[in-house]
Amino acid sequence: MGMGISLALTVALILVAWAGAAAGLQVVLGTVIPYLAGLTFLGGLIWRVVRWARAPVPFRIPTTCGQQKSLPWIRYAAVDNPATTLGVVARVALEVLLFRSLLRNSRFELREGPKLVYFWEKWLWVAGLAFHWSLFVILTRHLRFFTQPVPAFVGWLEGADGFFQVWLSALYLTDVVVLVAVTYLFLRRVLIPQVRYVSLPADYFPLFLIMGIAGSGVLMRYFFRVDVTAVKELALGLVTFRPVLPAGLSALFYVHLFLVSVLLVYFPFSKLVHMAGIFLSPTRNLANTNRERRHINPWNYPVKVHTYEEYEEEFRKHMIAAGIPVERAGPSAQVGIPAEKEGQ
Amino acid sequence: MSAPKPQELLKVSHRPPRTGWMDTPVEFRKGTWCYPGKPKSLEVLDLPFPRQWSPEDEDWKLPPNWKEIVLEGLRERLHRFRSLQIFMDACVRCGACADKCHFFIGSGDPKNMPVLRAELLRSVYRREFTTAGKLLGRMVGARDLDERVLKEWFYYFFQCTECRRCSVFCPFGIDTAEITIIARELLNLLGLNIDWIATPIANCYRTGNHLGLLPHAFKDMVDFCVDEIQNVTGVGIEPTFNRKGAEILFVAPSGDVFADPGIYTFMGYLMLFHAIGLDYTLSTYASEGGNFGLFTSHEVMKRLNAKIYAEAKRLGVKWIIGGECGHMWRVLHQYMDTMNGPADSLEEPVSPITGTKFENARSTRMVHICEFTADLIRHGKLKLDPSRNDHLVVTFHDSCNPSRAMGLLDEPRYIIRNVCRHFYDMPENTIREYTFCCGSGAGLGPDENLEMRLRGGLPRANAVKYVREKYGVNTLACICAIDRAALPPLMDYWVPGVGVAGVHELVGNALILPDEGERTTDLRGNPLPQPAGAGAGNGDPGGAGAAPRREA
Amino acid sequence: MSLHVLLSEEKPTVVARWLDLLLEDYPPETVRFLKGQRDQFANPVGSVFRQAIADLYEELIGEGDPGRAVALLDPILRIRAVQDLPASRALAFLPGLKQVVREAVGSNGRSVQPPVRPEEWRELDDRIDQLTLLAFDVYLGCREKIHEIRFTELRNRTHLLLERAGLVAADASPGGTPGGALSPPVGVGPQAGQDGRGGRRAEEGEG
Repeated sequence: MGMGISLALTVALILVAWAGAAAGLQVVLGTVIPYLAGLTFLGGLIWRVVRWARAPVPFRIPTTCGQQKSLPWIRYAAVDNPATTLGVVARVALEVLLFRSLLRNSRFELREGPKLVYFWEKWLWVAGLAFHWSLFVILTRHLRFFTQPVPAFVGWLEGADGFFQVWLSALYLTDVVVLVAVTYLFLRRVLIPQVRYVSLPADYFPLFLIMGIAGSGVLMRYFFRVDVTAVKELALGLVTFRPVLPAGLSALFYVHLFLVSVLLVYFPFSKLVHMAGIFLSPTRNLANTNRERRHINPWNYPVKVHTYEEYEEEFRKHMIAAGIPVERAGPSAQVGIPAEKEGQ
Repeated sequence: MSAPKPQELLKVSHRPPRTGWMDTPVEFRKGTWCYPGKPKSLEVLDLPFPRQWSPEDEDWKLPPNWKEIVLEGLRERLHRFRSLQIFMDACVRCGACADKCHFFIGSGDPKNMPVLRAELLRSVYRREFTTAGKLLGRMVGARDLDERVLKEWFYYFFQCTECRRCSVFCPFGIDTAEITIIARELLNLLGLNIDWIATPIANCYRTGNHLGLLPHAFKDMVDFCVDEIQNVTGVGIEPTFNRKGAEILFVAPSGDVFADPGIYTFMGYLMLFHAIGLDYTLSTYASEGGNFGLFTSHEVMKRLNAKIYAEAKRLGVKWIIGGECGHMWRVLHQYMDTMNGPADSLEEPVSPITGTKFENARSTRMVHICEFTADLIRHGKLKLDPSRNDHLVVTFHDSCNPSRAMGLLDEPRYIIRNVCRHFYDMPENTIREYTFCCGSGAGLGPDENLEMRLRGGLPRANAVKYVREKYGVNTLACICAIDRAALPPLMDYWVPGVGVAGVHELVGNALILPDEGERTTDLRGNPLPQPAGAGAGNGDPGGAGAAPRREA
Repeated sequence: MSLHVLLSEEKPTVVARWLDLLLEDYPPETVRFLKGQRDQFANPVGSVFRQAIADLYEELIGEGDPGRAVALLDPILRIRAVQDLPASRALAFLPGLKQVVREAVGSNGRSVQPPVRPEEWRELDDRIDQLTLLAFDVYLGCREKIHEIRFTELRNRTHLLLERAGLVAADASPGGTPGGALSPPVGVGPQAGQDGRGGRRAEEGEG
């Protein structure tokens, strides 16, 4: 059901953009909405990260995934149980760049009875990596539209990515990968009962949105060619705050642009902020130097404790009788055993 | 008209209707929940709303403004804990954690998937604290807080042992233990705790230890251990209590003082200290290293933990050694210094025997006994006869907290390899940071919860069974007092024939005291194995070929 | 063709369906995990079920040795006995096998010639009934074990306290029921004396 709603919503968004383009609302679709979306994205993301960052980290609670640094002759896990800032940076970097924790998830081997069967469980990790890296490369490639002159690395990236030639134009590997990966992530959500059980409409929606964005992009590039010069004119106009609306851009392009705008608006207010969350996660971004350096809790407040004096007051008689030293043989102590009796 | 086939009949009567998780209310079935905290226990600590109630009752006698209390409590904690905010916002429900929880593996209950356990709280967070949740409700996984939800919280947050295994696999480091800790804080705002936590914290507050041993009783139990040591070794040991001017304060989990088989571990501590002539004292006031405050609220944790530094200061010791205990070390390692430090009255710990500076404990000034002992062995300061443990084929259970909140993995293994000649690790995805919980941690150990404990302990027991069948393992070593209480029944049910021992019990067996007589039994009174001569050398776990000797 | 040969030929089908039947007691999102995760340590329940069901079927159509059957039933029922299942449901997969076998043998698309004699069916059914009865013993044994463990845990906690009576605070506050003190944070392990390693300690305590 959740999936249906999300799908319907995505289709509706596509139709709105299509109708808008047909009705001559290019100004709205090509200028007003992208600006509003960009503004919401930036503002929302800043608001979100500031909100996170403003909350203190009262305790140092790293999840340790390897040997601690203790005695000098025991080798410690410098990355999985970091004791230095460098180790922490490496740990977070591995999480961000390679999804290290997700990789742990799975193992190659499996034994069942006498047979040895190989079973690969790393698909989530592979698909996750492929998906995010492809998105990143595609995003970087799009810099071509927003910069003049185009930075050299964009060209290199395009060269590497577009290694295969199809119909006289380069087929970008990432275009294929992102579509395959997003499809996998979607199917996984639908087909694995335990994942489907925990899935919300809010989990399907961004998948559909990204499918729509990637799909429209692929269509424009390989099937219904878009006027690249016009697109660049529009994009440069947007980023230089001199918006223009070149003629000849198809409805497909506006659908693409509109879905991207929706994604930008949706981003800061949804789980998509997980990207920023990973950097701030206290179980990953703190060194396990708990006993070496005192961590300060900014809101540490005094609490009521049961003091030794109260304790001795209550049990003095018993303590004296048992020969346990006491601070003072007070009035309640009638037993004449010396208060200070050392055990040895 | 034909009668339904038996299969169909059963299906009709037993299969619950398939509903979404938000619409599946919780059912309190005997054997899977713990008795509620008694009002008296709550009163000792001035905890709110002490009253007689039961999870089975329809009416939990909640205060009329309970919803406000919970939501205000949640708001406050969102401002206090960045961890909570990020864990509420960042989850993408990828499902990587789903099958990592021992309770899910053993019970099959989908709400035991860590992601869903967290969603129980997250759904309310979204409804009350996010715009999307306020506007779109269920579309974005938001739902109202009502009594049904509250009951679900009680059921499932007291069905999490805060073991942090899921957190190892989460790509964002979301830690269900942290979520459970805070959810239990919220429940405690309404006086909803369980007896097995509430009574120990009340006892600990007043008498210094969980069981409520009064000072003379505590001493009496220690004296009992001393007598036993004398019986086995002929050596008289005289530990001191509350002695000012000792160099070191030793704090153990109180379970080791009174509970079988923990007392054998306690004997091991005493023998070790005697062998090296350590200048130390025990305290009856700080007679508990464990801290069930961790399972109640950060505040109660701090209130109970305060005793350790206070007593160290009063006695004027230089530094502190802590015994073998799991959650105790989570508190000591990750919370104590922050909460009740700085420990200015103490000095940076230096082993008086080897001169080793424990640099990793420079600020907290408390050293784990396994770190201490490993250092002694490394410097050749202990005379050991590992053949006295030849009747034991040992494997090691990494306790959750020392593994995933500290990383104390190789120190205990180093000790075991030096005091035992037959040691075999369990399969790699069940040890070290991947270790499976005993199923009874975080206060979930009462006998009324036995079935849930047996379910949750299955993955651990299953790995023990594997090494038992493969290597003849008959002893499960551990460094946790809760393990020493929880693993024996677990073994009894799933892998009969495997006993449970603390690492320092094994040390006690192997340790040659300077003035000891001929030993004929181990610490438990079992006859020592005949000298075998041949076989593996010291510390060579792989070379032990001989089948284990098992007593009848 | 005799039923016995058929049953051997259809073993893969029967075993697969029988496993499905057994797993019907778990929510679908769990079943996928139980069947899919092949690592025996990450998924003890699924692994035990898969292995034991196959062996049990082998035993059933083979010699039918009661001792071995019990040994094979034990791991399955040991798990089922601690899960949220009434006894009737925990054992239902055994009588359910009759239906599974009939469906598997009937659906193989071959016309069996000569047809299976009714006595053969009856013999199989008898064997399944026997297995069910054995399973009842095993299941009951597991439940008794649970109660024994619970009892030992309780008794061991109490006897140590009684032994040291008067030295232990009865409860958090005066006038408390002993029940409070009977719930120590760490119980006395019931292991003592049961595996022989309890030794003197257990004897003294229980004496």
